[in-house]
Amino acid sequence: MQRLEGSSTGSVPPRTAALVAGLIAIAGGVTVLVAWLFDIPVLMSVQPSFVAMKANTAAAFTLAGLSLALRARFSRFAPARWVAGACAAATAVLGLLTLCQYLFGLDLGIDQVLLQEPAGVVGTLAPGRMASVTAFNFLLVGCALLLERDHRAMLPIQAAALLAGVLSLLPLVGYLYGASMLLTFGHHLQVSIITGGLFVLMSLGVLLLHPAEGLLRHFIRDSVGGWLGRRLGPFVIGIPLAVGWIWLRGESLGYFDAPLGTAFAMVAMMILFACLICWSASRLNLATARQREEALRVGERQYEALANNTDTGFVVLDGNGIVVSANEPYRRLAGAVRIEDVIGHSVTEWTAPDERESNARAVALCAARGSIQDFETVYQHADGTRTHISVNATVGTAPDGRIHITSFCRNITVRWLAEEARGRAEQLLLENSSRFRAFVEQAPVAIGVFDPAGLGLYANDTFLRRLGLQGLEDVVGRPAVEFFAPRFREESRERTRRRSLGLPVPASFESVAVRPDGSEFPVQLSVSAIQLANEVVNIAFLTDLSETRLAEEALRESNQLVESIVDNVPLMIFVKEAKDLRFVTFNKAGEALLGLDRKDLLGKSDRELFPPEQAAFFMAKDREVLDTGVSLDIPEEPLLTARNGERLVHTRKVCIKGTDGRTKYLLGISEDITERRLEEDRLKRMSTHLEEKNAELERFTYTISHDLKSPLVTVRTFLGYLQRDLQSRDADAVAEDIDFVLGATEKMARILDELLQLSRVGYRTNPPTEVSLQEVVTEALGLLAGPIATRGVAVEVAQEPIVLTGDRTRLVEVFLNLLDNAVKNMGEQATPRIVVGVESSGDSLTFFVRDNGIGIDPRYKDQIFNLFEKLDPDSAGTGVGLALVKRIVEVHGGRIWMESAGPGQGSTFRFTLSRARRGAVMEAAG
Amino acid sequence: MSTVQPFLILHVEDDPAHAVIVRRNLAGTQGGTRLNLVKDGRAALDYLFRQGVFCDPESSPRPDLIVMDLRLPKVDGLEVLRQVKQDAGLRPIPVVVLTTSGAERDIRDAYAMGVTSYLVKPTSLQEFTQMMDAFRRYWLELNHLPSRPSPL
Repeated sequence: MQRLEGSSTGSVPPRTAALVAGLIAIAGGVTVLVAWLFDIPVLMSVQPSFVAMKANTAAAFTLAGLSLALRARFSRFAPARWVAGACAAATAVLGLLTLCQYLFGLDLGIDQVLLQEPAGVVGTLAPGRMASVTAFNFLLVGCALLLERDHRAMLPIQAAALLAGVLSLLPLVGYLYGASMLLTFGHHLQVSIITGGLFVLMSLGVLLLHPAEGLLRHFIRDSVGGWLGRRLGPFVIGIPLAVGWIWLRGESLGYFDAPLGTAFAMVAMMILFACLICWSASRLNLATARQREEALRVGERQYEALANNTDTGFVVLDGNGIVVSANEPYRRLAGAVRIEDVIGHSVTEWTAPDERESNARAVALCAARGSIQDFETVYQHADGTRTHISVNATVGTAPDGRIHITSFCRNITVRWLAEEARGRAEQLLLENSSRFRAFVEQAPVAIGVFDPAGLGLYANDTFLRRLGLQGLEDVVGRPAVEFFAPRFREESRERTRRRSLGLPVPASFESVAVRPDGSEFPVQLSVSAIQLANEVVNIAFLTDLSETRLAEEALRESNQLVESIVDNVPLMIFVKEAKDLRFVTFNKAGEALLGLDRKDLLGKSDRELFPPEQAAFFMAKDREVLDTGVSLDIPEEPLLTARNGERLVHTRKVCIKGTDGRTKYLLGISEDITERRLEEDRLKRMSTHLEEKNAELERFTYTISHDLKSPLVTVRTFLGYLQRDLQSRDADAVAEDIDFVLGATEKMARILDELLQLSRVGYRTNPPTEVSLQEVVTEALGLLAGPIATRGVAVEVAQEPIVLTGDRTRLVEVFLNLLDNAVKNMGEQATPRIVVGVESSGDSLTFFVRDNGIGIDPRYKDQIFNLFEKLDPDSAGTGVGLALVKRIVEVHGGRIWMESAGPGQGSTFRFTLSRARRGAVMEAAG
Repeated sequence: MSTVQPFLILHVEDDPAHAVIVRRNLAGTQGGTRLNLVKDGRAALDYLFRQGVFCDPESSPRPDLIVMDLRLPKVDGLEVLRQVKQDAGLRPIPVVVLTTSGAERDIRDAYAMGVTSYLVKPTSLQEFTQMMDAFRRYWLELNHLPSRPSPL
């Protein structure tokens, strides 16, 4: 609210005024006291005929003034408050005591305390005593100052102060109009002029202490009433005083008598008050008018704000199309930088050249018809951008008869472009129907065509399907940005903007598309600009990444499948990182083979898992594969495992390259071939054994066929000779023939007999028994007792207790044949000797039969054990004996060999028997 | 003193009965046929290479033909054959195997070693006699051999 002129609050603060009043009171009081002290009458009563102020009164004023001054300015300080209270109380008490003296006719002696006053002074009942009204006033003022801070009693306090002022005003006015009149009221009103003035001041001072409260607040208020009060107050006081004074002066000078004077006075009062009221009223009216203006201005600002913050352009044109007024949105539509570039200018300045004519026609039409609805026009900015506007205008007529056109303009560019694009799209499709459709329509790829501004022109079925659209109408004219999820739209706008400005835009990018139902899906878009039907359009190929994601899912599934195959294949499969050869994959078979858990294997290298030399071997092979890139087959490698001991594995190592062509992993596939290898070894041994047997059998049959046929040839041939010799009766020849036949048949019989023995060794074994070496040897010697004795051979047999375990009969045959062989091959030895002994070699025992006979050429040392092998054609043996011995020894888990220094050096046959041991034979119970 | 040397056959045979049969069938032929008998492979090699007891060329003259059994004590017949055929001086001497074995393996091995002829001993006197007649007729009448260098 605007302030009214003449507001007192603007000039002197009320409390300062109260302070000044207090200080004046103090000054007055002190001056009078000084005057009393030095007897200066003029200072006491102004004029000798006037009543002088009493010393008590001066002292009381000093006290009251001090109290007022302190209250006005220093009431914040507690001591000041106490002093102020004490002074006020003293003032009130002084007034009360003085009053009591008047009322009860007493003399308390207080009047002369300060100064002696001679009796009979003007207007004084008792010497030095103040007037009764003065005493009463001091009581009022003192009480008011004492209670000044009590806000609840503000009205009585102020009333008391006011009463004191009014009571003092009367003598003052009396002095003004001539002191004589005061006599009429008696001594009670006999107050000095200074006292009266000071009381009026004190009264005002007390009122000003709390101007916002009580009586004074109505004057202080910043309202019409306050203003009126402040404005009229001085006149209400001043006018009657002035009129009364003039009236009195005129009467006293004899210009008119009392009734006329009264009439004059009344009329003067009336005129003056009327003038006052008239002036005040005019001032009030003016103030009200200003308030209205202010309100209007505020309203205008609000309207402006409103107008400028709407999207709708608002413009007022005069009849010539010149802008009278326009809002901010209109300025923007017009493409102007400042509103000044619009107001005062013609609309044609920003109307597109091709639209000016129709615009002018529309203005004319509007003027004629009074309004125009949905008129479309185009504004063109300085940079050439065209804005499409829809206008609704109304014509108004000003009082002076001039017309103005009020228009509301909306920007319809987006809508217009969409419609236009739709039109172009149709044209495009028409023009290229065969080519374009064949190419695009049924393409399995989602294809959308957009104009450079990003508006849809066309989309194929796949595009519509992917984006969940019903038909082409959902695409044509729609900004591409709307196909993106809201949070990706800003990006899309930026791409469109950059594309339209020819700035580089990624040809392919990923984003998230949204369907009309709100569902979103990841997409990859490739956008390229092509020339189509005389215009450049952007073709967007859209790939639904969620399908790719599905493919990824499928890939993951197939990976899982592969993983489960890898995991369950009964081969150890492992993958190592190429760079540090640490395990990254290990399958179950691998875990089982190594006897370790996957978690203990992964991230480790061979060095941490295998003995150093094995780890070094593995890693060397790994490096070889990684370096050459050629897969490696390691047929056999030992592998020390935690739980399964040493295993033999067949490993294939393959280098796996990453998509960048660099070696990334080493794949290893290992097969545990330990069992297979053992089996193979067993089979090999068995096979060797069978081959040996087979060879033996072959040799056997061959030998049989030869060695049995040989005597047969002899027998049959000599039987032929015998026949012939018998016919020629040649007795000698017959005898010779018979000898040959007999020799041959004997040989045959022996061969057959020994063959039978030999064949028994293989399959007819008696249950193994324990027998001492000496027992066996003794039995064999017993069987050979005849030949030994005949040849005179000395036989020496070791006496160590040795236990042999096996087929007793066969063991006897071993010694029998060896001893027999030794006896037969003694040759011409003069002191034939045979030693049967035993030697220890490590844990095993080696038996020997040594003779000092003809010996054997070392060249034939293996041959002699062959079946039917006879070194000496003339010897009696058949060549079966040593073959038989060899057979028996082998059946008993031993082996036999012959040592000889050569012919004439004797020979030693040595053999081992697996279950032979030192010690005595356990006698069977019973 | 006849200037015609008798046809000398080195007979290697461990079976004395068979040696007798051969002797009886080859003895008494015209032009003179001489049989030198050794009983094992070792002795045959010693004879041919003039070693040991056969170091005297007089007692062990170079034979015109070797008749040999295959199964021989000490050194097998095939081994003897191999050594004879490896020696440049002995290689021209034809070697006829006369054995009881008609085994295919033996025949193949013998020819592989360079045997000249392979005969199997028949199991009847008649057959034996016929075979030896054919033998004699072939080797002594039909077949030509390089002439022996005359000893000094």
